[in-house]
Amino acid sequence: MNIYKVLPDLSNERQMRLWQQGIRKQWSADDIDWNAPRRIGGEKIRDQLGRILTPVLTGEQSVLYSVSGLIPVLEHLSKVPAQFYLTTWAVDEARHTELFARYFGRIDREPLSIRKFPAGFLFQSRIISKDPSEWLTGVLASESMAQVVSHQLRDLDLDPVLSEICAGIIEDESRHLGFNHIYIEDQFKELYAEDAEKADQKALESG
Amino acid sequence: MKYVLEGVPPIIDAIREDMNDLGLDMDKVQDILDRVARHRLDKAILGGKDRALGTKTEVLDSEIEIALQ
Repeated sequence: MNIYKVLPDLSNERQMRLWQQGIRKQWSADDIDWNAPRRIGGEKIRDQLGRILTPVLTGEQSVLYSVSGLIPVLEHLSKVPAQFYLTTWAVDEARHTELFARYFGRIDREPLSIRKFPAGFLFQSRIISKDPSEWLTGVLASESMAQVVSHQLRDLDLDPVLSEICAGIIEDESRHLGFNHIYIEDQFKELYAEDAEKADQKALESG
Repeated sequence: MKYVLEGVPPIIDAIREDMNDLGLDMDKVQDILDRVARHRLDKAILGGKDRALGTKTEVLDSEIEIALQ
């Protein structure tokens, strides 16, 4: 049986501000001009982009599934502002998954299979966790990498559609990293207030 | 985080040639993996510790890579 407060505690102001931002800054894959002239025509460069974007697509899908699974976990922990925010994070990842799936169609390529790219798929399995703090610590690495790769692909401007996708994703990832910081900071504030020695140990284990 | 980070080099190795050919800066990607992600985690942990114990090095919202206005 699920037990929750009828009137949720929404007093975490920073998480509530991020939640509001997450709602206000939503956008759609249909906002992209998919008919913009394609700048990358060669077979080789499209093969290369297909390989490079494989871990990006699997990463977006993997985070979508794991973040969706954490929404009910936060409900059980009565962390409602964080739960609110994760609903927008899930929408962000769903949008990114759609964007890259459609982009593979634009370049007429398919992502690499698990057999051909086991490292990419094994990496995603390392991040899955039902503990929000543990998940956020792991996802911090993949979000940081996604952010820098998106910056570079946008700046290289290989194709207008890819550049537009990356520009949008950079904004979304900034919110995710902001939430990551705030949630972990809040968790360690509670841990240190309860038992500084245990918190130090947990900090060591997190890194 | 260490466990997650250990899974990244095999990914980069698998697509390194493609990334280099397209002009992606591998050094910058590696730097993010080795330094920035860990720094972000340290900042969050220290921020929580400071807030709990009333110490001074509190991390300001303005230092986070997001506009929290």
